[in-house]
Amino acid sequence: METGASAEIGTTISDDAWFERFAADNEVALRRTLVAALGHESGIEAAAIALAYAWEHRARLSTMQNPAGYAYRVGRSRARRRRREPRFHPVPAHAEAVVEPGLPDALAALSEHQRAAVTMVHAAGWSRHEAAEALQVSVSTLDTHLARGLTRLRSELGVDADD
Amino acid sequence: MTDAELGRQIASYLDATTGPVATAQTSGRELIMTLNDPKSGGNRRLTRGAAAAALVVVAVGAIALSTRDSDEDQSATGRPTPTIAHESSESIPPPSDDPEITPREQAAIDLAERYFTALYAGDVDTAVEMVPQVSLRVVAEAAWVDWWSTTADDPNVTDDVWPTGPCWAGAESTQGLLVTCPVRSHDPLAVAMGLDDLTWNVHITGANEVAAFIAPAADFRTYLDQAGVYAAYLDVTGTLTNGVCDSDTYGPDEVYDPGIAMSQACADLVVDVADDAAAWFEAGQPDTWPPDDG
Repeated sequence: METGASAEIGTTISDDAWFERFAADNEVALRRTLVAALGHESGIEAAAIALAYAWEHRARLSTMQNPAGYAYRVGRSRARRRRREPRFHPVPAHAEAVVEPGLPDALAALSEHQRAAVTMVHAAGWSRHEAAEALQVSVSTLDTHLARGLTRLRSELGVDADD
Repeated sequence: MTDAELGRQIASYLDATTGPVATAQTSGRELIMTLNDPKSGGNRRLTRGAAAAALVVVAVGAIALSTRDSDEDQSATGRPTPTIAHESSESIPPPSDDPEITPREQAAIDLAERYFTALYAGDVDTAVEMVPQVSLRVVAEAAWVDWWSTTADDPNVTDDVWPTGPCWAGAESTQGLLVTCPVRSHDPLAVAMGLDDLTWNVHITGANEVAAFIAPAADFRTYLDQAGVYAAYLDVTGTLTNGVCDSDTYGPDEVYDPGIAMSQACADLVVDVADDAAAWFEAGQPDTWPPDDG
C-alpha cells in the first residue's frame, strides 16, 4: 500500500505558507474557471475540492510549474456532475449594470471547453499556455476553443466585436 | 464588445454569483470552516467529495500540526489545531435519534462493511468477487476508488485510512443513503509518532454511488434522470467503458450539445446496468452479481 501521507506528514511551515499564497493568488481564478466550466452547482464543489487537494498535496504542488492548472484538473475530474446540462444562476440585480442579462444563457450555449478556455484566458488572467495545459490540449486547440467560444458568446448576446 | 470586455463581464458575473471558497489567510482549519459555512459567500452544504476533501485536510492538518506541537492547542503559526476526532471507534455512537435502519439500508451497510474489510485486508480478489462488480463499479466503487485510493500519479493520503468499527446509516436523502464508517490512519509514520489512534469518521454520502443497492427498484428510474452522474462514474471503470462511454462522455466539442450530453450507446448501457441492478436488488441477494449469472 502506498504511503501517500508520508510526504505530507513531513510538511513544513513553508509549505503552509506556499498554500496560503497559492490560495490567495488562485482561488478566484479556480472558482471562476470551474464554475464557468461546470455550472454553479458542480463548479463551486469543484473549486472546493481543488483547493482542498492543493492543501492536502501542497508539498508536491509547490514544485509544479502550473499548480493552478493541476488543481483545476483535479477539481474538474472529481466534482460530480449532477446534471448533464450545466446550470448558471441568473445575473443578480446588483450586477445588472455591468453584466449582460443574457450572459448565463450565452455561457450555457458554449461547450465546456469553450467556456473554460474563454474564462481562463479572458476572465482569470491565465496565459494561453497555462490554459492549454490546464485543459490538456495544445495551444492551437485552445485557440480554436477561444475563437469559437467568443464568436458563440457574441452571437448569443447579439453583440459584435466592434460594439 | 471586445474580448477583454467579454472577459470582464464573465468575471463580474461569476464573482457576483459565487463567494470565496477560501481566503488569503486560509489554513487547513480555516478552509474547512469556510467550506462548511453556508454563509461564506454562497457556499452550501458540502457534498461528498468536498466533505471527503475536508476530512483529509483535517487529518493532514492534525498530523502536521501535531508533529510540530503535539501538546498545545495552537500551532506554530497561531492557528487553532484542527478538531479532528481523537476518540476511539468504540466511543463513536451511531446517531441515537435516527429512524430505525431498514433491511434495505442494513443490506447496504453490510455490503459496505464487507467490502471495506476485504479491500483493506488486501484481499482484493475477495472484495471484487463479493461485491457486485457491475453495480459497484458503476455506482459505487468507481467513485470510492476515485477518491479513496492511490493511483500511480495521484497519491492520496486516505489510502492509509482503515475502517475500525461498524458503519451505520445516517439519513436517506433525495440522492440516496448516507453510510457512516469510523476509520483510522495506519500510515507508518503516523504510527511511529504515536498517532495511530487517530480516528475519524468517513461519511460515505455517496448516495449516487450506492444507489444501485439502496434505491427501491421502482424509484431507480428516477436516478437515471441524473444519468450524467452515472456516466461520470463510468468514466473511471475499465470494465464497462471499453469504448462505449468515452472518458469524456460529452464527445468531441464540435458535436457537443449541452442538452444531449451522453451518447445513446452510453445511455443504453446505463439503462441496462440500472435494470440489472434493480433486478439484482429485488432478488435480495447483494452478494451475487449479476442476478442472471448466478
